[in-house]
Amino acid sequence: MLPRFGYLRPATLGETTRALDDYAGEARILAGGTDLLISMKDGVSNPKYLIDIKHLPELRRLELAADSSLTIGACVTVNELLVFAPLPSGMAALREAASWLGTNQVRNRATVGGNLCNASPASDLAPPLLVLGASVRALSARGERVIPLKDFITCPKGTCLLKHELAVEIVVPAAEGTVSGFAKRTRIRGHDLSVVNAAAALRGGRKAPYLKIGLGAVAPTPLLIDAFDGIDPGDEAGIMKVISAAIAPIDDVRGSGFYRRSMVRVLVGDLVRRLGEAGSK
Amino acid sequence: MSPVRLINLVINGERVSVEVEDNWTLLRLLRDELALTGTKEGCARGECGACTVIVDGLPVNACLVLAREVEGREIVTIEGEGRGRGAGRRAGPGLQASAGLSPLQQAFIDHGALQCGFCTAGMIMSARALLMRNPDPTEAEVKEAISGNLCRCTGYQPIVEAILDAAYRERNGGEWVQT
Amino acid sequence: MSDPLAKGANPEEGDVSLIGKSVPRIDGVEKVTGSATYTADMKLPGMLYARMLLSPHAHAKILKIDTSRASQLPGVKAILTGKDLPYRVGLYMVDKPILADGKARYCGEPVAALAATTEEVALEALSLIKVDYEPLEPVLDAREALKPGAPLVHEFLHTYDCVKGVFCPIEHTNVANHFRLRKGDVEDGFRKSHKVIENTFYAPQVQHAPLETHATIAHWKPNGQIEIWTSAQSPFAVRHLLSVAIGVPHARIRVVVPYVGGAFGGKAGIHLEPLVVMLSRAAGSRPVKLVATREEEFITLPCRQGLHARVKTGVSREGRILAEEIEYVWDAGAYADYGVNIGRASGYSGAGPYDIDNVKVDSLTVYTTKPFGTAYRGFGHVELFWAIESQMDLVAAELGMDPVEFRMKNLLGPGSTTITGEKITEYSGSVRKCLEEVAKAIEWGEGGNAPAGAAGVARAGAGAGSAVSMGKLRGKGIAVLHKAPAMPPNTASSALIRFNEDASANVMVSGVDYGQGTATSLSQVAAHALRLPMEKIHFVWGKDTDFSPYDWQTVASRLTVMGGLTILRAADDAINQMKEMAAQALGVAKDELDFGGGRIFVKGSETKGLTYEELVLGYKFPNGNSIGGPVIGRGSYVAEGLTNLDLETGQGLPALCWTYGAHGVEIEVDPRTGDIEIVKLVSAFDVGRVINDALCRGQVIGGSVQGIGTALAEQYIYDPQGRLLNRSFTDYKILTAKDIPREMVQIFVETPHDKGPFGARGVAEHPMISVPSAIGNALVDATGVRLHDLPLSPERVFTALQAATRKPHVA
Repeated sequence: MLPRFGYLRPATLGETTRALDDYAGEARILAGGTDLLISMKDGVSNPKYLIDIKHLPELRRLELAADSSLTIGACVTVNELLVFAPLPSGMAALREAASWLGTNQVRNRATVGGNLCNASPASDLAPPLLVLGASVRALSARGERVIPLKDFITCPKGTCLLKHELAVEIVVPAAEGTVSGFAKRTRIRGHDLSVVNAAAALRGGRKAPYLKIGLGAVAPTPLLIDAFDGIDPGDEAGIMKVISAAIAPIDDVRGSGFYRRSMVRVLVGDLVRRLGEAGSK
Repeated sequence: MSPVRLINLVINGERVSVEVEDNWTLLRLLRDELALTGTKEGCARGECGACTVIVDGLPVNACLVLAREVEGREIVTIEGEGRGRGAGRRAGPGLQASAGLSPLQQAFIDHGALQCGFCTAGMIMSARALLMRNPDPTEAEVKEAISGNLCRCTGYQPIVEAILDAAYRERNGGEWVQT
Repeated sequence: MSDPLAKGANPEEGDVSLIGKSVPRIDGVEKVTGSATYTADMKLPGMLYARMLLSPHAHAKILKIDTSRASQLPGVKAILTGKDLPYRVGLYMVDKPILADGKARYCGEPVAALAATTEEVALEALSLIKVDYEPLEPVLDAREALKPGAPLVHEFLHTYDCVKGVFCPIEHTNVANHFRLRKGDVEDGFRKSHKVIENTFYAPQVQHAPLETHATIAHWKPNGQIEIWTSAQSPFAVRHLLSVAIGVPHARIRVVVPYVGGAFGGKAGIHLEPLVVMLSRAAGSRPVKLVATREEEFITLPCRQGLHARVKTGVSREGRILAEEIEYVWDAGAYADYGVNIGRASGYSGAGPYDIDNVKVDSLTVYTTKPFGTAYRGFGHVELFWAIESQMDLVAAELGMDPVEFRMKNLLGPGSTTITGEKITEYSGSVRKCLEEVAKAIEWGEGGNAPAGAAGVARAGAGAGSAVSMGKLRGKGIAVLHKAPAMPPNTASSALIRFNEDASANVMVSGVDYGQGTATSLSQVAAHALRLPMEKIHFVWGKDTDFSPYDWQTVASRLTVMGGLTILRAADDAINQMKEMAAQALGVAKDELDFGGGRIFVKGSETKGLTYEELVLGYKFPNGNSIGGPVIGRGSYVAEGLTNLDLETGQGLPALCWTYGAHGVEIEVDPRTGDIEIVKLVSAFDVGRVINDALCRGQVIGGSVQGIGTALAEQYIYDPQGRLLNRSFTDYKILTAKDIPREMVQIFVETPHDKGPFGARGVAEHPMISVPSAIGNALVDATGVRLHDLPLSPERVFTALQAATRKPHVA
């Protein structure tokens, strides 16, 4: 059962930010609802108002710009992203992650913005967006700002958005010359939260390799690891040494720290190998 | 605190005007207010798919959709399957009064794709949504489409077979293929 | 007239028989159209909504419950606590209070409940109830619970009723039942053994997870009649146990079972019904509905017991089992009202389908402060065969023998004596044939299933010749199984057949079809026995203790057998009544009459006969004189020849019929992740006679997938305080369509049973049994590593493989 709340559907983005101002902290944004409604049913969240923003056209944009950067409106659903034909091949990690998220039914409602704002340490979309260098454009009644995704998620279930701010878009810079991929470890082949997940982006070929790894469920927030200077992308041991120092996976109901560490090694190793082969083609 | 609001939407091809409260889920609206009890609640958290309905052509978990969110939308539930959908006429053995069943529903019966029946409405909705977009799915595509619908009775294999068979039947104009 | 129950009764020659045909399920249309009504779909005028307040502690004294603020909330019509309900309920051991009685024994136990005009009011009122607890030390491990000085879960165990002469609780301990079996002399057998092998195994608690949670509507009417609509397997058990518990006569209680959305044993016996009944009474006789949330299904409603098993096997040099000593310690959870019989059934069945002269079994049902176990498909046998069939492979390995060969040397057959002293005959069924079929279908012995040798020497890469992908390891494993219905020796069923004016037949039994399809197969039996087409059979779907004839419970894989027998008797009775009238009407002796095609006719005559229509409501002569009356076919059956078991030795006859079976499985293991994929699963069961092939296959496919879930993915995970951590499908993972085997094959062996209808035996539970052990054995074949504890989850397999290789993992 959901607790009582007031449902608001502002007609414009301007009305939305004004409502956020007015209700300062008593309101939550309702995007896909697949996380928020569950937390309300569980009694974890109890907002006085829900502000439904899915109908606002600015939040549904899914476009490749002339410079090949990708703009994903915050309310673009995961399935919309999954079937977006013009998605550049360099951003394949995004499509792969989208395909792993939840079930078909959930993907028809869950949104990219919602997934990031929910800020689960095991988010499936954060690691690929991190390795692709995405940023979040946030709007409020007082203006807007662009927040690099690596600064966006600050703690489990927490972002740096202020109470009156709304995430409107995620911008992914052009991925020319990049190969990327995503992998996820689950307990069954069917839908599951990540025991761990990993994304990788490799750019620049063998001449000037540039590797970024994104990991989920190994730290309080999704991690971006990019301190691979001087390490060849084929040097799995070297890569793992950097990663091992950065992660702190815990024991919980989904898996032990030991297993998570071991699976990070497997997922990252597979990804790096796969991308290396793709990149050299 | 939460006022009641009149919303209009289309359910199974019919215009419906109904008063809803803000905190009602679509599942609650269907089952408790509109007596469309074919859609079931299995977990209330979007994990089991028993509450799957089709909203504007897309399968979703009705337990995680607010009634207010689907104002103006077109909803299809299990009660809308079969009627006027090119329903096949088939004289089968036994008591199957098959008039009014879609090929998909008939295929579920023919293949033993149901036992207790509790997951069946959601399962058929996921299958219907798949066939609406992809009339010739592969086995892997069928499994992907229904993997969000948990079944504890059948072991899924008969369901996959039923959906593939239904796809064939529907592509061939509802010609019945004796299995 | 031939006795339809005669040995191996077969359909008449020349008949187009429905027996064996895959007649489509008779309840298909309502289920695929969403028009089947389940309990939660129902509304009654004036109905209230109930909710329960659950204990957050695994073990705690309830010092005080303050409901004053809750009762003042407008819309709250009744609030109850344990103090208001001084009753105990239970099928075999009457140990369950309706609400916690002064102490909470598991986290999730209901301590208070209320009924209100809306669910919202009910939830708000719940939050206003204040409970003062004094936490007690929880006891979360059944072996710890056995130790002297362990906290007692049931201090007053000695005051509880249980079925006398059958169950043996040990007062002032946590032992709800101690089952003993002694056959021969195990010490002598071990002395004579060439090798003695002892191992321990563990199967954790798991959950039925039916898609429909428990749901009950009850109405204690102003005239004192109680009406109950409930998602249950056994309307008569609900009625009886409620009557006994609260002292209301049976005839004043009416239990109706509408459609049931899966049960698997979890809805056998009695669960929410007493609470909802008492809430209705307290609410001034308004109907009350309680539908368990999914979380409550996990933590409040029962699950499957866990098992700690120790098996010690002595074998001769030639590979014959000379002695076996078995100890089963059942982690029963907080209550054992049903659980004590699992301890007993696993005891008398617990050595598996083997011919062993010297056997000692001790099966202990032990209380712990956790959600409690009840019947679940297999009734202890999934767990015990995890132990036994793993042990058999371990013993075979010690001897350097092939696992199939070792079993063939020891499987029982005609002439064998079971561990309870029952003689196996040619009608018992053939486990040997099942194993043969499975070994053949899985191509056992091809692709490198040579014995692993002692102590699991690593043999990676078995299954050469098939497309083994990318570093994965293939292996094959087999396991056998048996189970008889676990039920009291006086278990009974009955059936009624009455006719409508058009001579269609209404068939009524109280067996519940909660998906397994028995309504369809029993309709086939009725159609066959009455020589009518299926269209003329109306199987009355609703079960109602006011109308439907008595049936004990729909559990134990017994409905096809016992329900089928009663329908055959009822059909026989109906035909006999028609023949009585026809004999008189036609002026012939009764034994000159035959029946078929909807007529009673004189043998050999084309014309001399009467249609059923002319007889079913009595026969009217041309001059108006009438004889006879409405035909009502009656069939009753009590399981014949069963006995209680000796409390010291376990000897007796507990089994109506044994269904034997075997599984063979080929798996692919990814050593880098611990993933196990089932490439092929072959299952064979000696069902005696297939009544409906498609439904039989449905039971096998569904049951084995459920078994794979137990094998690979499912377990209850607790925190150190005894709170269940995985109480939703988010973290209690059941298999999805993407998790099923690549290929599944079902084989039915038909060694007719001398008692079943057309020789049939049940097969509903058996497909789940021994699936985990077959997979565990295949894991050894693939990797050389054996796990003794379930589940074989990727993490547990990976960790075990890592430990075995004892070197850091290299991708």
